[in-house]
Amino acid sequence: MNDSELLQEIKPMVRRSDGFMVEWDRKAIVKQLLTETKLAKEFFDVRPMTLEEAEEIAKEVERRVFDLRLRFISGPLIRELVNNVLLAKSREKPEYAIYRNILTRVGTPVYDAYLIDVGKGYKANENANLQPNPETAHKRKADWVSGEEYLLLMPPKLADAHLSGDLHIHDLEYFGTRPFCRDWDLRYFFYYGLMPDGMGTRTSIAGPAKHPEVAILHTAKILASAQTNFAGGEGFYNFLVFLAPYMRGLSYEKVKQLMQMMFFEYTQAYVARGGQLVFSNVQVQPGVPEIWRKVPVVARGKIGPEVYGDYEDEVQTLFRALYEVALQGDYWGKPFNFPKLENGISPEFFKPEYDDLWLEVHKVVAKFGTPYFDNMLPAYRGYGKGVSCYQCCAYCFVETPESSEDFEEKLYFVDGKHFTMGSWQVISLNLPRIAYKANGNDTLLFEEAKRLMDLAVEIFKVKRKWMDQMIKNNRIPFATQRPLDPRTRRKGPPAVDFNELVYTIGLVGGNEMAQWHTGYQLHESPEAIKILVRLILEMQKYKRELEARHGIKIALARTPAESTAQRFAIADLLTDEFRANAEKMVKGDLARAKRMLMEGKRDVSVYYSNGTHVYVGAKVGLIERIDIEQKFFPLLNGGNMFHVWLGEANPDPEALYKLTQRISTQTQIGYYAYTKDLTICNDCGMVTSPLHERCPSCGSPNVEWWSRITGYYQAVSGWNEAKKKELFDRYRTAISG
Amino acid sequence: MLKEWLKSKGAEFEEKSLDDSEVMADLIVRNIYILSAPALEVDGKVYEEETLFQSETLNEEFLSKILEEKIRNER
Repeated sequence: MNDSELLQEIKPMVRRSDGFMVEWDRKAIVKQLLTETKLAKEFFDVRPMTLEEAEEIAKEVERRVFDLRLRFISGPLIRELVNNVLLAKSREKPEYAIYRNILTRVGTPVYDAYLIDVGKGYKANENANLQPNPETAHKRKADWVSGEEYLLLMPPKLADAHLSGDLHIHDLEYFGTRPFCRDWDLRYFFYYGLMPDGMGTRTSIAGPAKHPEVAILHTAKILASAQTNFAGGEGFYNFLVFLAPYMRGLSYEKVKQLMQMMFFEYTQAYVARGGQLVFSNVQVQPGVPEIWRKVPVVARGKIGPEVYGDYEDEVQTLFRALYEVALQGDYWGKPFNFPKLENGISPEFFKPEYDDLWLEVHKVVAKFGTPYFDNMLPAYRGYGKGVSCYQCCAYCFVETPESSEDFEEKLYFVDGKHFTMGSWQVISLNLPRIAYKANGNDTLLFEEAKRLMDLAVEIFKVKRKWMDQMIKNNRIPFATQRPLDPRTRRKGPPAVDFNELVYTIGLVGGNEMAQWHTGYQLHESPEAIKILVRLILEMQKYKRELEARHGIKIALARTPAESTAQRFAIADLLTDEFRANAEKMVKGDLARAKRMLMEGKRDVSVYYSNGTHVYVGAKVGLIERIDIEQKFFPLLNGGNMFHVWLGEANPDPEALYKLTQRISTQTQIGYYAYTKDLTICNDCGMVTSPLHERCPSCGSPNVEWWSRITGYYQAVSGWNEAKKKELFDRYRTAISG
Repeated sequence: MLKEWLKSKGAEFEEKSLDDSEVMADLIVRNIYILSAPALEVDGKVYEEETLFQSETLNEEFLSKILEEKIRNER
């Protein structure tokens, strides 16, 4: 056999990922190396590979391939061999480790892809809002690819901080493509109209809504469009006030029908993020807040001459109708879990003349538990000085004349200026691990928290770089849209003022941090409360330093931590350094979790307490728990939430309203909800309370449980194992007794 | 301004920094939230800037009243 024949025999055919089979060509590896390592400059400020280096690598890979004497080889396998060579050489040339990151193929093994198709495996229950449908399978595969991509294109120490469980980058799958959450200003769309694609060329463009039905439908489509550009919750602040001008002259029955339409539009369109519902919320109040009363109305493509104060009656009618529909629920009598109803409690409306409207709200609370209360009465909320909202799972955003220099222009919609409230990105810190590292030393505790905050800011910077690229390449066009002014035909301001978005740092496991540091849980000693308060105060101080140093806005918050409270607990149990400590601190079923972890499972029944919450299973009364948890609300400017776990099947609405009055006027609790556990029968459709193994009506065991997982209601079957365990651990309160 | 006034009245006081997390945490554990400085604590009751000052000037009448009350209580 001559050399040519030998070469022909050892040269395999290549099965490429682009769907073709081609002859072996070493130059393809050289070309790939030269092209792909250009990203090293862009993401790591590391020089790309030279031609000589690429040829050397390609020759080495070719030698290894030819040694195998294969007839065929796949593109992915060649890539693995290239990475193998790069990794071996990275001991001499550290930049080769970066090249290897960049050249990594991201994605799922075939077996895992199969599990995803059948609704199992990788992060099957990470987000209870995901629906069991084929869109979800596609989303989860895409999430896998994207999550790996963003970690590989991040400085390794930041990616490792996430992977090791020091911190958690929320919605990692959307890190490079979208900001986090956003509360929208409806006036923008009632003036400029609706352009779902943000550009006008890919979808039809609607002018500003003229009729009430269109106004309601636009609100649903605004949120659906927005959800394609944002990773988290989408909502409207001041929802009923901005809608009210469309309701003039309509009968109560008509308004009620419109509210019914709104609920169904928001809860039946599986259009968002892999076949989910839009995670929606609306801020509602039973009247026109003082700050808006003299502000000209924006509706039907024009401004004024009426002012919002002229529409007090319409707002009240909307509020009443909204709650009458919410009380009925859907066709089966199930609650509407979206939009989340964020009831703004402010001084104007917390008076006896509004009692009947608040009682309507509490009838819904008593029946379903679904409404939320955004308590603006405590002094630290600064009510009346600006606009604010609680949205997404429980994030708080504010714009005031101090924070926004063109506040007045935004208030009066001058040249289309409007409010932009939302977050770029959320990163949570593993507080128990901070305590394990500090081992009782206050100074070390604070220093470790600051170190993690530094890492979070570095990640925020990477995020912003990605986002700048997305904005530049017009990849989030709904957010950057500049629609035509209906009167002047000139382009209006962008829908989102990105300078107003904040970066959110979240806390998880405050209770277990205090427990390790002091020996007591929050409900067991003031000493435990004090160390958590001190830690947050130190973090607040450092936050201000970071804001000044980096020119960014940061908010500290309790994050929803639906999966993070579990993930941190598991990460600590899996790490030799922290395992012994974590075994003493985690909540849930440790023995079962350890068995499951040994089997390689990751969705296991352990968790840390969320944010600054008292351990859900602590047997302390409601008043005592309020007294502990209220202390943290003024410290967490990015949002916090207090849960009342109801222990009765039929609580009295009046007793609940009295409790709401007490919480709102006598405590610092800024945001709270009452959670009622429900059983929905899949056979007869009956909705009952609390959790039943069998339907009390027809006796069927085919039941689904519903409860509030974190900041929203969802079917328990989709919850992760830790949240399911938490559901049973919750110490519930009897209100009426 | 507040410190000078207290000194001029011969009132003994201890100065604490609200920037000190230990000090702030002690207050918060007692459900006392100070939103603006300076603040004055007398017998467990805390008075904030908006009470201690009228526009830019010290509310001497109010301060004298609480000082007199304290002296009365101590007798």
